[in-house]
Amino acid sequence: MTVQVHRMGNGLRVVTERMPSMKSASIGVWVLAGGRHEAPEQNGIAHFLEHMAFKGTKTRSALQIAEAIEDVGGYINAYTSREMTAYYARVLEEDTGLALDVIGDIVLNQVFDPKEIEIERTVILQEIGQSHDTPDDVIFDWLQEASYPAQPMGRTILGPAERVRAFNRSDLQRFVGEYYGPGQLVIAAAGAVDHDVIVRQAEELFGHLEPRTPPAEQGAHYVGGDVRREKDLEQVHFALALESPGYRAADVYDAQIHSVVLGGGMSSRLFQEVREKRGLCYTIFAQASAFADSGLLTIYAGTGADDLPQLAELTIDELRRVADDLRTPELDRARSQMKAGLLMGLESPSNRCERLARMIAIWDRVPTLDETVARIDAVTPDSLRAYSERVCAGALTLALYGPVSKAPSYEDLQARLVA
Amino acid sequence: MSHAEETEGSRRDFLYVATGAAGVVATGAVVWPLINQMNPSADVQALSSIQVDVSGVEPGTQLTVKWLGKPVFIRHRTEEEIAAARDVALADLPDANARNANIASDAPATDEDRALDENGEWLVMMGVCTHLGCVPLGDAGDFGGWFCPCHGSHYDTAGRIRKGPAPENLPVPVATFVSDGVIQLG
Repeated sequence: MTVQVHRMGNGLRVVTERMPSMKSASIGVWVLAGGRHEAPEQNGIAHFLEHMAFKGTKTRSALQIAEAIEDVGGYINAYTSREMTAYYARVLEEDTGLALDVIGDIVLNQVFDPKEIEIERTVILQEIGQSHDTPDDVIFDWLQEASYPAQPMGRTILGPAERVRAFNRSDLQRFVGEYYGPGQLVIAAAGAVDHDVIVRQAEELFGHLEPRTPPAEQGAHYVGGDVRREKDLEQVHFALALESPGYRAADVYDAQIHSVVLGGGMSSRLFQEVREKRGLCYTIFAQASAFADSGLLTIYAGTGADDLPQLAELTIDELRRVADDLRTPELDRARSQMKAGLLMGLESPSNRCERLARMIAIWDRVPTLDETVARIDAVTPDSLRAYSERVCAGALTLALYGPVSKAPSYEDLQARLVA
Repeated sequence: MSHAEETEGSRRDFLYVATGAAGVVATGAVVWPLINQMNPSADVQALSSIQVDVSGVEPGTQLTVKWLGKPVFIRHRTEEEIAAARDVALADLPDANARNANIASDAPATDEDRALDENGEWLVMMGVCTHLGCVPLGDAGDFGGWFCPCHGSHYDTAGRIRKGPAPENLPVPVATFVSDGVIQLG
């Protein structure tokens, strides 16, 4: 498989990877702008804009956008995250040109018809409503807000309903003007793709864009904190975070393996101690997510109101215990899970395409799989123990939702962690 | 499973996909049951043919069906459309080849060589712009035929390219009437 990168005169980057034997492709445009790039009064605009892209361009109506892709049996979707907005499609090999044409159109030529803005506003308000009615969704928004209070990194992607109610055409145009310049765009494609053909089409569609400089990004500053909301639910939803490294940090793979050891699968410590031995929950997991300049180790579990104190204390004890008694077979197993997960994931063109775009965004090049595997292999029991001590020395963030009255206090759990 | 640089954490998707992507979606609702039955598995697609019931397609309307993963336009033309197409001199056509898989490959692009039947009532062609593969819109463009919104290619009422960047006429696939009101593709 060959990764090829092309840099256009205006700074837009095109990255492709041909996967032999594939008959289909994933192709899309990744914009290096997301929730964290919004000013306070803009919170939610990146996501609103992503929705509006599907609502009509200078030459296609909303219906024609959907039909263009579905007439050839493909699918199109988009997402907004804290640092990126992506528009992508999955199509058969011969329809790759069509897919890029449609995506280029919706990224560059949105018309923001006021009528469509009103309709989409209500769609997004429903999306916010659905999120609020989904405890294991909204709790992660609260966890993020408490981790990074009063700063762009802590704000929700959806934005508060009152802002979404107020956005208008010029708000959308302002964000496009600021962040949709060619230097912020990455076109990525993987699968049955031809680099030269895609580059030619990209030049045709995006070559006219003038370079521009986006506003400076505000750094993320982890603080930590506590959010508890009482609600009549069957379970208490419990989420915990600690600061972990950003994706450019040297110990980012320690953080990943640590989260796998702690709560990455059925053999993980939390799953075994909390669910398999004691039956305290159905779901419990740990994960490490990384941003440019910070990251979060996150643990989530749902349990009964009476069992919460025991579950919370056990979780803290397991966090501490990694540094004390990590064994080599556990590390090796987590390493295998990561490597196999990576390789299995990359058999899908969508995942591979996503990885290409992210790597270009982060490193301006695509590290080989061997490089990534070498970094996973470089994690040792000592480096992992040292990392575990570092991460547990930080301030906790807690988010609790449901019948929370019996929950241990923030101070008690923080004290238990450092004791 | 998350991987250091691969996952950034939570994201908000435009579409919440509750189930796996549906295999085939009915483009022309009228023909859906027939198409569905006839729909071949992927590995025999190359050899496949489908039959389309066009008895309900009124003059001046068109049916779009999916065949071999691509849209096929089946248009029941009005007398005006036929007359307009037959009134064009070959010299005015950017692509003078009929692009019709049912006849000789060097046949000229006269309307008679494009239409499915002698009277020219039926026009069957791939709904894929010959420029970059977009799906042109019907009843549109400067020539009353099809218009591709991607880069502004105009096709006339015989599906021949007349203006814009597309290099060729919309291709006519192998097609034939197998009985009154039923067209077989392939």
